[in-house]
Amino acid sequence: MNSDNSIRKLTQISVTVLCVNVLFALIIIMDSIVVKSNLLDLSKISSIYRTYILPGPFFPSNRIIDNYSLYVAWKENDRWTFPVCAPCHNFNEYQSTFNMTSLYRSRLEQTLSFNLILSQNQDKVPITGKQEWSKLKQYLFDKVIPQNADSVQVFVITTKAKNFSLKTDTLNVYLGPRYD
Amino acid sequence: MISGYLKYVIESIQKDETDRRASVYFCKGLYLFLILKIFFLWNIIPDIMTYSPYELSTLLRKLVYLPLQLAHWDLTSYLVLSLLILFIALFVKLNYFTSLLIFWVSFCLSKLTQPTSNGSDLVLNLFLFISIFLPHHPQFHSQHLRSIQNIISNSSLLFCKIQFVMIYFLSGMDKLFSEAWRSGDAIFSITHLQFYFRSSLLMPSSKSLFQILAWLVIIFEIGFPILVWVSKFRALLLIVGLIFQVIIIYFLNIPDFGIIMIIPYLLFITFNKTNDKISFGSLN
Repeated sequence: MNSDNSIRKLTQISVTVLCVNVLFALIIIMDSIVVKSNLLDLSKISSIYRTYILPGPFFPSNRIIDNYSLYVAWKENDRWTFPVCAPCHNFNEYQSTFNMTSLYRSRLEQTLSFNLILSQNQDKVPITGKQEWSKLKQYLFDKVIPQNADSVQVFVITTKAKNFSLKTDTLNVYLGPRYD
Repeated sequence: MISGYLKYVIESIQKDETDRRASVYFCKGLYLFLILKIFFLWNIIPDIMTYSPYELSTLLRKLVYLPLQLAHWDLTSYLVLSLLILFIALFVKLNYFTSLLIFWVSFCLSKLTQPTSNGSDLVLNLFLFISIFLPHHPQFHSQHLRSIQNIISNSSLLFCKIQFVMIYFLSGMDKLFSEAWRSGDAIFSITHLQFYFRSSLLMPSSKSLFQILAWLVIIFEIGFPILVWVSKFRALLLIVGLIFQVIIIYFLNIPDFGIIMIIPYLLFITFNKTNDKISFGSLN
């Protein structure tokens, strides 16, 4: 009898937890999407819940507008090379071979360039003095740019695809002869 | 309608199911996914650690990510050990120990590989966390404790299904309340995402086509969570969902996200033990 009671109680607790979870999820959806008050974002519990228990939303409209493409050109024997887009190269390789390693490498390169753009918008410190730039520079010199390059130019082209039209913007960093 | 759902919840929690193939295939699908992820990330992780290292500021974080100390000491040992746990879990019965270890491995790996991660890592870790409570092994000797174990397992299974449909519902509602999605502008933006959209696909730049596609996505993402519980719609929704995810894998070049959203479909399939066939219509 006691055993039946405890089973019944446990069932009740489980049902309650599941129902409260659904209600909480619906409240969060209403708060952040329908009412857009984002009041619950202030609490630690809802912030953890939104990140780990109810991930998403995926493909929200504000996250699919901007594209960041990293291009590098360098001077070799007094001639500038054609700009190389390292993340594009790895991404295209994934598209033709379906090798996930290329896709992961492309994502790493995208993150390094995206962090640079993000840091540029945060303060007025010159871009070459930023930690994000030094990480990207180190990566490019180790993986992309040959050792005999004389000067280097790095471009991050931002393309905005919004309102059925495209707009582009370019961030350009020039490193003079032998990277002074 | 609500009382119908409630009745279904109680029945699902209390049922004494002997055939648990859906949960087993689901968990092992997650393990296989993680194994492949480690294989493909193997050569990238040293670069991530060099050029985009993570930072652990508090003592609590250092404790949570304790296995990463091994990665810093010897990355190969860390990855080999992770794979070993995963392979063992793949070939033994679902149990609490390997489930817990695998969740911890995956959670730490996501931190380590943050620059290459996306939503699929969050979904994977969520399901691996819930799957800690899914197993029935080691099994208690007492009938009473076994019943408790059964209720916890059934509740976790239901929790997996609920969170899965909630992920769709959240995305669907976000799109429904977004002007860019309602007008089809979001599809235009997606077709110009350089590192997502398949470059060989030539899509006509028609506003009407973009709008139709956007509404199909909205209708599916809101319809799926509501109708997948109804047996007569389930098979159709799972097939449409599978096509939807394959499109994401191929045309949007997010294979990890597409696959991790396909694996939970297994939870909605009933595997019939008597004639070894699968069905979609016996859950409620």
